[in-house]
Amino acid sequence: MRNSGSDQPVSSGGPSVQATQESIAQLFESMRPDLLRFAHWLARDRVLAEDVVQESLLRAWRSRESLKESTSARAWLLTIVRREHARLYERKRLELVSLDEEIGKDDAALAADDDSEIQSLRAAILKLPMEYREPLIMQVLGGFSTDEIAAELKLTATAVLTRLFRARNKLRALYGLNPAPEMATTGDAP
Amino acid sequence: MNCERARLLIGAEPYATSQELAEHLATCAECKQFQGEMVSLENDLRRALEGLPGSSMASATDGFAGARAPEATAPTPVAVTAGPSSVTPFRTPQPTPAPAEASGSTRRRSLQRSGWAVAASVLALATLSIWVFRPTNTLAHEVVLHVDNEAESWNSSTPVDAHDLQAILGKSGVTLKVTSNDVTYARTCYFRGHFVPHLVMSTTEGPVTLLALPDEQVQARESFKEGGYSGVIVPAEHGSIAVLARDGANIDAVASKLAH
Repeated sequence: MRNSGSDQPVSSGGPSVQATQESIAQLFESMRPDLLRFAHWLARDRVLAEDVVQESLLRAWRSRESLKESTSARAWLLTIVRREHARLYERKRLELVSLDEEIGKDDAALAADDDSEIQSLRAAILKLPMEYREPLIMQVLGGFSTDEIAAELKLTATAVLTRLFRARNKLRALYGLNPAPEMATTGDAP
Repeated sequence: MNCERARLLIGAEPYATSQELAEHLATCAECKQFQGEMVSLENDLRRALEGLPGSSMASATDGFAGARAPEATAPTPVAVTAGPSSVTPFRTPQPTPAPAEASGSTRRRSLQRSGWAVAASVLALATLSIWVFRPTNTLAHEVVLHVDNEAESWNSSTPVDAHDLQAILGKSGVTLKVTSNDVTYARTCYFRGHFVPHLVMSTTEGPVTLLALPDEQVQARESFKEGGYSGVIVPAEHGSIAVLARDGANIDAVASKLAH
């Protein structure tokens, strides 16, 4: 697990990062598009996502000493972004995002290079409840394993599997596919 | 393993395989079909998630490099591109992982992928062109891009909290002759590898943006006009200060006052 427990994510052992501050800054900066994409799917709002990423980079910069290897940087930064986004919700009551408006924005921006199937899928993902959207984005965009997601979200692995299953099951309807039957209660499922 | 368990695992991790699951799939046509459908959905899901954030370059060219591999090597930082998303690095397009099992619309998706590859190439070429033909005064240009990228900063009219302002200046080790009453926007921004204070000040001639750049040295005062902004970068005791205005405000007076 790359990040667990404490507020400051940690990375596994390995060769130390010998880079200068400049190269670390460049490394962080190079990942900004990934972080923005990740934050945008979580926050469903671009401006909010930019704020989250900005704060996350600042937080990461302060904690850069804890980044032991550059290959862990992506997951490390994504975890910081997720936590920063969660903090944002804890700290203050956010303005409601108009989902239709947000979806409309994306449609306009992406109409040129996407087919309607993908646009519909995006709209459906945005409408997923946070409890399903978050682990799905962590898995697909972030590359986190089920166990890592479970540790980060403080859930059991079974609960994460259930949430991931339900998220995809809801998206199946878009494809004219019959949703699979819901699982029998697993005890620790959400 | 029963069908219910198999579908839970497939739905949660369509690409995942285990011996137990493989054994079940070998004997259950329905679950096998379910897996094929979920893998197909997964490919579209990845495509869908690639695109959302506003950077069209990122959406078109960024694949899911490393997305399924937590230990994947971090992207190599390369030249920063010009354009509204100046922080977006130019990156080699990454192919979307091939599905383990294609659906009936394989041919259509293959054509779509070709279209994406062409689009990615065109965008990459455009980005390269912008980079090659960027203005020679890169610092001024990047200041304009940064400010343009935070256009909402101009909208505030409420003075920032004095403690917040001091904290932001303090983070960057910058001392400025400003009072919080004059400052309507204050943030720490990441600019050219450093975190710098980004302020918007209310003046009698309208709002002006100020970027304190302790790590950017200029030999002499530099004026510039670009993208509807007029600006000046002046040497300061430590580094330099960039001041921008949109509507022809007297930025020289502001810059002189702050730099000395």
